[in-house]
Amino acid sequence: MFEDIELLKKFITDSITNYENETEILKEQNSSSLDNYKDEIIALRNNIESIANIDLSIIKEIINESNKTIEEKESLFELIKSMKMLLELNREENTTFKLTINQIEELSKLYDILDEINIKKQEDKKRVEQKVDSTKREISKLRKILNTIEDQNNNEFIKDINPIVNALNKYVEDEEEKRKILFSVMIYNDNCYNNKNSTDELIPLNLTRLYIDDVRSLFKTYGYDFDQLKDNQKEDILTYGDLVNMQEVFECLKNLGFPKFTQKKQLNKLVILLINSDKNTLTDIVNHSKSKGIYPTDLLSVIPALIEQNNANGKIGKKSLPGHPEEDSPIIQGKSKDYKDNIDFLSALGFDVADIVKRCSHSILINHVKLVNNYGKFLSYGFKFDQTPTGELTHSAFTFLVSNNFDVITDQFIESGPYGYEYIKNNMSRVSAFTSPDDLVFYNIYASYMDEDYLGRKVIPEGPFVIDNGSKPRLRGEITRLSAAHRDNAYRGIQKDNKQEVTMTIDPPISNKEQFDEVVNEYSEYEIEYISFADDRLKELDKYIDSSNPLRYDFDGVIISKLKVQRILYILEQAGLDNLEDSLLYAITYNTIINQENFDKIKKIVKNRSK
Amino acid sequence: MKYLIDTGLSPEIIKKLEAKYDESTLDLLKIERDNVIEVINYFKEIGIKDIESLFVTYIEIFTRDVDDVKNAFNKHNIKEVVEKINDDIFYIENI
Repeated sequence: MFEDIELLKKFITDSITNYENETEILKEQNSSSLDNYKDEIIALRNNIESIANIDLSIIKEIINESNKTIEEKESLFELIKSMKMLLELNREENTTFKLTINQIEELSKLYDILDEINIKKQEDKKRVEQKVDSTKREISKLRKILNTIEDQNNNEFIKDINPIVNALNKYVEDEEEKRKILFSVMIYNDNCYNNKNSTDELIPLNLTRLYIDDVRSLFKTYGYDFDQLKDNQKEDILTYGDLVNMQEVFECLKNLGFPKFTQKKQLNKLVILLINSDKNTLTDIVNHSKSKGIYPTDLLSVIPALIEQNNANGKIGKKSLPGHPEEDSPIIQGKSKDYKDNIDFLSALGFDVADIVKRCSHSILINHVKLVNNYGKFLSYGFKFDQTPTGELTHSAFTFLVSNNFDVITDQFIESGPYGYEYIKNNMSRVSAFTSPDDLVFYNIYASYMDEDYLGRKVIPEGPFVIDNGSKPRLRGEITRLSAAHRDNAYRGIQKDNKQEVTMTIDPPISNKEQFDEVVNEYSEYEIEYISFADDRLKELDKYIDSSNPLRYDFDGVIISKLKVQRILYILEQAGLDNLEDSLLYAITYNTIINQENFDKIKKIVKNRSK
Repeated sequence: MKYLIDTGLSPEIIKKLEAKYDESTLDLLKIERDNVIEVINYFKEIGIKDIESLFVTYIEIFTRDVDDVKNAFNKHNIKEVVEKINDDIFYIENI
């Protein structure tokens, strides 16, 4: 981790230097003959005959800056040369040759050129100034990020990564290197998050049951009838409510523009807010949200955002009071900070956050580091966002942000066949729809390639994907019908208890597998340092990289996800298990649905590689 | 979340939801309880079979106002749409 932060600091420092050099070059390139020969030009403007005193090389330089054709430039230069000779003779030999009107007119073309150069210089100057200003802004933003990282007393996240992305696009060509830098940002933020959350203290929840008449009176003041609440809601208010806080919350809801809770089913939200929220959090979140185009009505779909993160209720967790089942507890975990951090992060990247709140409210409430890392993983797999007509970033399936297994599920789809990557790229909701690499859908996909069923009968292998007239691949309906409702007509009879038998696949026989499994299964879902992992063994596998998709290996027809191998090898290395027999074979075949024949192929390739 | 079982969803659904979603998402199910029940009942009414898979996969649909959900479906031929969703739950992304 330390190396990653140093890499990030070096990149930012180098980028600042590059930008500064660029600024200097820009300023130098904007010079013209007007700057170098000011005195001569002033003399010329005052008296055309002063051309006698100006060196021909200067005249040539001025003429060459114009937009005239080569022939016109040469013709003008020769004319001026001959007129200059005449004027020099007058000065030196006391001759009295006069320039004709036509000659003076020709000579005045030089004035036109000077005017033309001046206009161009002004335009160039404006362009350069704008470019220099823009570059200075980038430098300033990068310096701010560098200060954030270097201040050891500071625990602030890097929220605006645009300056880093801009510098990467400008100065780094290698995609692998770009990924390393981006993920060092994620690692830095991950570290900040861990530091911030390591000092929680428990605050005991102080409860005094309220007098019902006081509460009725308070509700009436704000236009509500306390007796309209359900019995459990009334009980919760009287048990958990604080009269002063509730009055402040009522006042805030009124003043901040929240709609009145007129429908009975909305009263639950009012009760939750009265018990869990407070005036400071409400005000802070509403003001923060308004600046991002999110209004109080929208915030009612993300109630936990209106509750202080690590509030007193939250700190005691959802532990219920004696006699009060947790299932019915009105205590809600506050997510105000994660909400704000997620909104700031996504809006800085150019997303329409108001749209995300409306379409996928739960994604905006998740742990911030998880969201940032899932975003990072999304990029690491080469996926891209769409753009709205107004230029904001968007995506059809923001639910991928909440996935607990983004990389694992994406790997399974990559390995599912030649269209697997295209499929998951265009159906991103599947990374949160399927949660386990063992999901039956992956066995169904595997089985669809088989030309025999498990009873040895020949079938037509139709493959899992349908591609209609050049459109994006989709999975056949029978492949994805997986629930209890479809158990009677499960695809090729595949169920949980017979999936390997039907597909004739195996658990790869790998030495030390139990040890490897233990380490890999404990690995934190948030950690993504593996993206920057580099190892000679991986370099040796480069010749198997699929030329049509660099995220895939093709081991003699067996498709394996490259990032998966990287990740597993990294985890094994962290645990000191990467140099055992079969470490690499384990990394390659981890989670892969594979038969004996294909496993033997890969085993042979790995063994021959090390000879 | 036991109320979900009262609507007819299987007891396994709570484990599936807990395995898949953060506490904040599960809290939303608690906050939007009445709405969730209304959406489940609406889907039953129009004949969607695999409500459980739909719920686990597209939880955000069930926390929306039931009137928004109905309005979205009413823009299509409901019978055809339900048939397609029953064939492949991912078809709901087209609504």
